Amino acid sequence: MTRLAACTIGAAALIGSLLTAAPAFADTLPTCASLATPGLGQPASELVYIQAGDTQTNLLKQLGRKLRDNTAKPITLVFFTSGSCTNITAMYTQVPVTVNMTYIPSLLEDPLWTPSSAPLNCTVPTPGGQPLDVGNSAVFISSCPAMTPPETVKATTGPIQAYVLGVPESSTQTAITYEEAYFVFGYGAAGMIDPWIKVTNLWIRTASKSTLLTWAANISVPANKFQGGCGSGGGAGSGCGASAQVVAGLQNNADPESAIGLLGDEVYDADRAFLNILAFRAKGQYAAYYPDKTASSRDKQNIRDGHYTVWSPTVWMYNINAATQAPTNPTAKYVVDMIDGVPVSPAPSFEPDTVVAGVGLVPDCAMHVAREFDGGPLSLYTPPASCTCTFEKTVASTSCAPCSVATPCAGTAVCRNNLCEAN
Amino acid sequence: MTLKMLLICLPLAAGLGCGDNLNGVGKDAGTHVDSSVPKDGSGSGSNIIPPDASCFELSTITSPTNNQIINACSDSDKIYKDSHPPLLGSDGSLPPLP
Repeated sequence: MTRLAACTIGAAALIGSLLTAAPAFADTLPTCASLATPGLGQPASELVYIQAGDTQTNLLKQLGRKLRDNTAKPITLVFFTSGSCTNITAMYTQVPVTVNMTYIPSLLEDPLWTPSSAPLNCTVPTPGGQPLDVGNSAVFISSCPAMTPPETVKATTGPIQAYVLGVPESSTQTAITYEEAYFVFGYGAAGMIDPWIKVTNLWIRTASKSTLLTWAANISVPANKFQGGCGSGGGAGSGCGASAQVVAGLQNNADPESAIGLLGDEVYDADRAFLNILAFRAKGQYAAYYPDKTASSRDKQNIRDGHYTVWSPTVWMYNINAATQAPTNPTAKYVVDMIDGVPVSPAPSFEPDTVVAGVGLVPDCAMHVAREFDGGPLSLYTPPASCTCTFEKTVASTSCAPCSVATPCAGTAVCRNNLCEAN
Repeated sequence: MTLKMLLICLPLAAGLGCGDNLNGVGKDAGTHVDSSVPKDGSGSGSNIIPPDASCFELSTITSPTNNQIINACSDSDKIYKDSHPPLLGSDGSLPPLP
């Protein structure tokens, strides 16, 4: 390392420690609004206030870091997580956030922050709370209690979110069928599906969470009928409020063979070191499949081609002017477009689809199947501009042919990101 | 085990694990992983199981059904589970939830 490089890193660390230590030293949190003008070398930043499902936390952490460091257009994501149905209601009825929100520091502010670190807290205005710019649901809106969508909210379809059944790493179980899951979560111990016969060891989420709602739709057990809890066995009303509780419940389980829990696939991806998942055999399916090609790969092949059926598209909402359809906050649309895989201007200093793929989500452009509602039948799907090859190269490897201006693709294939995509 | 026995037993095992055979009653739940790539895609209706219960070749089907998509030929790991939930109806139906 050169002396200049060492000095640069040292100076950045010092400034970062000053920036992040100051609020702690004063024993007060910064206001979220103050994040727009942090000073001390950190450029001014546009703020986007988001309420999202906690399955999207890894995405928001990774994206939050890159956007606060986005040279062309610095943006700070200020976010709060809650259940998907709660988030839809919050956007539709303009419910402000009245508790502390979180954000991710820039590289300058905290060089040592990593995606496994906790987000930082900031305070919202009191009284009144913080109005939202963006809302997220990780389940079809139709799976939540019916509400008339206001003309002032634009809902878009984002990356695909899969859901899994996790078990402790020491469990010997490898697969579960649609029928078994129906009896496990619909009957509890009375379902007699060995070894999942201990209702206090069925780790579920509450009924407003996308994780439970998507599983409910895929195993024909209504959300309010779910057996299990968060270690208590009291049913969906006593399900875990956060994915982290399910992870902890499985990880530290005294009876690992009987333990099973509902998780977002990307939550599992971040916790593979100490959890396993079960392959799932859907209704009418001949074999059980993992979301990925194998238990250890990360290619999401079976989500993309329809062999793993427990998934839902994420929905990202932002406010618009009802008359003009223009976004109330164009930066909110910029962020949503980025997540949805829509090109944005100015181009960011990173590749958004790579961030999406890196956290275990599947961009719509890499999907080969689609559905109209949760648990609904699958049909073949061709995205407007395929990114299958790029996705595969990002998460694993691809067999797609390389291409360039000098060596174009054969036939009707399209050269995109130097790989021959089908369309 | 001879090669001949393997050739006879493997399709039978696959048939038991793959088909919509939900008539059994018991608590046996054996599993096995199969990374092979069966290539049989005959049959077209959503309730029709291919003769060897292997898979559908989607490239030969104009508008595949959900059943054909989820049972399409694949090089992914497949886990065949011989499952017989005790409360499953004799006709394979699920009883109402309590």
